Amino acid sequence: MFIDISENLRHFFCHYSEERRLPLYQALVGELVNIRSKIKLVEDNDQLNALKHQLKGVCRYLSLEFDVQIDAITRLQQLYRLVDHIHGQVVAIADEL
Amino acid sequence: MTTIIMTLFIYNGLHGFKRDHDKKVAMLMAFNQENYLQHRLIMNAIRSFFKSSEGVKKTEFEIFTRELLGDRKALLFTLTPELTLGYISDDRDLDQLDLLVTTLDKEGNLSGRLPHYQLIALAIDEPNMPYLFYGIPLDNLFFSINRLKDTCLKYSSSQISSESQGCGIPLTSILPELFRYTTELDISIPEYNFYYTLGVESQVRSSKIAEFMCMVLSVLFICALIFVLLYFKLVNKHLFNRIERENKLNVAMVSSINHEIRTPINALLGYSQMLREMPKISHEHSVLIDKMLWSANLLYSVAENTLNYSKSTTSTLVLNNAPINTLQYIGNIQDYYNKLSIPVGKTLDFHVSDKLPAVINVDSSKLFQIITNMINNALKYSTGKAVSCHIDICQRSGFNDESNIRGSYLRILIQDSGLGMSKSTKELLINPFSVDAESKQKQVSSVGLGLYTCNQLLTQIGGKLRLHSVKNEGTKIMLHFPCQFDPSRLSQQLNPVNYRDMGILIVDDNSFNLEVCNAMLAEKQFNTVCANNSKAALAQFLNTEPDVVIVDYQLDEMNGLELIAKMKCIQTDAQTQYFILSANDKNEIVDSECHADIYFMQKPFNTAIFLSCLGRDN
Repeated sequence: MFIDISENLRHFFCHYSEERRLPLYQALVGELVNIRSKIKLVEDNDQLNALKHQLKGVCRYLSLEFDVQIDAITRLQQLYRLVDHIHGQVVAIADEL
Repeated sequence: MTTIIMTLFIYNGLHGFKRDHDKKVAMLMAFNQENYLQHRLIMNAIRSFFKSSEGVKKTEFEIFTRELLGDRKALLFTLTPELTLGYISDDRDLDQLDLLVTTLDKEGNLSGRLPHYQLIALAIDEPNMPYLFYGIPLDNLFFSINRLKDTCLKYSSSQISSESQGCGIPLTSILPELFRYTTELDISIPEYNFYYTLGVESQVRSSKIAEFMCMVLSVLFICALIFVLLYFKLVNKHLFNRIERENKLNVAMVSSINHEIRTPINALLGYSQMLREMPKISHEHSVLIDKMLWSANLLYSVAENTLNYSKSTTSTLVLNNAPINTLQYIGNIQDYYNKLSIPVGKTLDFHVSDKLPAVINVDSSKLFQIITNMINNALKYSTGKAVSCHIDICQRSGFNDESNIRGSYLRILIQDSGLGMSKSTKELLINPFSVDAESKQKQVSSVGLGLYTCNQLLTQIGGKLRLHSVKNEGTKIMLHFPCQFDPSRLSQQLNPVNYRDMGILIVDDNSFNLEVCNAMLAEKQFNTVCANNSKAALAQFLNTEPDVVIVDYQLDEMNGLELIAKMKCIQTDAQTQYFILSANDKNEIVDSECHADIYFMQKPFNTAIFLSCLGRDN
């Protein structure tokens, strides 16, 4: 089940001044793309856990309560789908910033 | 494993039986050896006697042989060339010689047979009596072996074959056959042309076999038992892992549903609020809108409780303490209820103690949830009109630990004046899904999750919920919520401070986290510099000489603590304040307690917490 996080994203960005929003947005997209591309290169469980840890950090800043979902991830495909889902929703609100 | 243990055990058991048999054989050999030497001595002595004496007389023979044989039951006699009796060691044995059978072979060697005796023929230097016979009684030979129970000795020579008493025991089953050991010994005295075979056959006693079989079965049973226990342990472990996994998935699902639910609830609350503030709303509609608002509030509370219930069952609750302005915070709760328009006919009063500090460090969201839950319950279920909430602060020893370390607690008393709680309602405190019969009768919906969740939550964070309800008087709920306060420092930090002169170096290899942290601190006018790896961080540290360094614990090349150690080496006399930012709790970081001068903050970065630590001596 994927959750609509667009409200969380709007809420997150509205805390910052307009000139700060774009760098933040770019950093967020860049980080999600970075995680997504790293997923393809994962070879062992430690690398998967490192990426999960990285994504958890991002989610916490966005006030997304995804800790439990991320902990439950055991396959690369699950992580990829979650990151892809977050990325898709971040991209969808680009025009609003 | 069982097969190996059984094989070793059986091998060891059988080896023990064989060892016993070998001991018997060795004993027999020793006995035989002794006899053999004695017989040789006797035969050599009698030969020498005839060789050294000429014309041995009968009395001389009798005296010599009596002395020589002593108590032995052996027999010495001579035969004339006509094979008639010459001399005999003891005249009492004359009768036995009636059964003597002699044989002369082609080479002129004489041999003889006598029942119950092994005869050895010797040629002696006596023309009248050239043949001397030495007879060894078989009884003497079997004497010792007959003492050994379950042992059969078989004697076999060219003259005679005999066996001991133990050989007559018949076998009753096949099993003892497996515990029977046989050894054959060929013994010879060539100079006297004497050869014989000794066969030793020993049978393990049936009591020992029974004992051995019992042991085998016991070991087999123990092995089987261990196997069954291990099997159940594995099954249990598998089951436990599955339950834990399913539990996590359930919490994940509840969390997802909760997230989905809260968005429309917020919308419902927001739109109801907007509707209420619209002009020209009739009183009738206003009452309906108030009901909508109240219901949405309860729904929101249920959603929060569901999530916290799931978290408390998997022990994932953590406190996120941050400084709050106490009076402002309580005012916010009052406003919350003022906006909601509490149920018709009910009143809610707040009483705040004068002793309450202006600023306290507390997990405000959990405190809000617990207070509103208890107030909602009082407003919803009490039959009385007035609900009051008294808030003060106290110092006392902890509730959960046995150590007498005193801590600060917000003490909140929520009191209503209704009929009081029934026994079944009180049970909701420990059993969230027990059915409250009275609520059912009054058609009030209740799953009791709120009371249970608040109790669990408070217990987990080191607080306490006490419930006291008296029939027809009402219910008192006392909450002890852990908090920290240091008015002198916290109040200073909440005052406006100019941070423009304060340089902060932020190090994080996650670019988004770095950017967010930077944005948060920039909003507070801090002078920030960023580095996304340890090498760049060290370079920036040298260039900017920051007042504060915030480092992510997990970096690519080294961990945050190692990077801080390098920075400390560069500037030994600097008054730089160091912070570690980690997704994990301080206790989960190895050696964290060794770094008293470093502040550990949990992600996400919280400006309020950071400011509360800034400039503080750790």
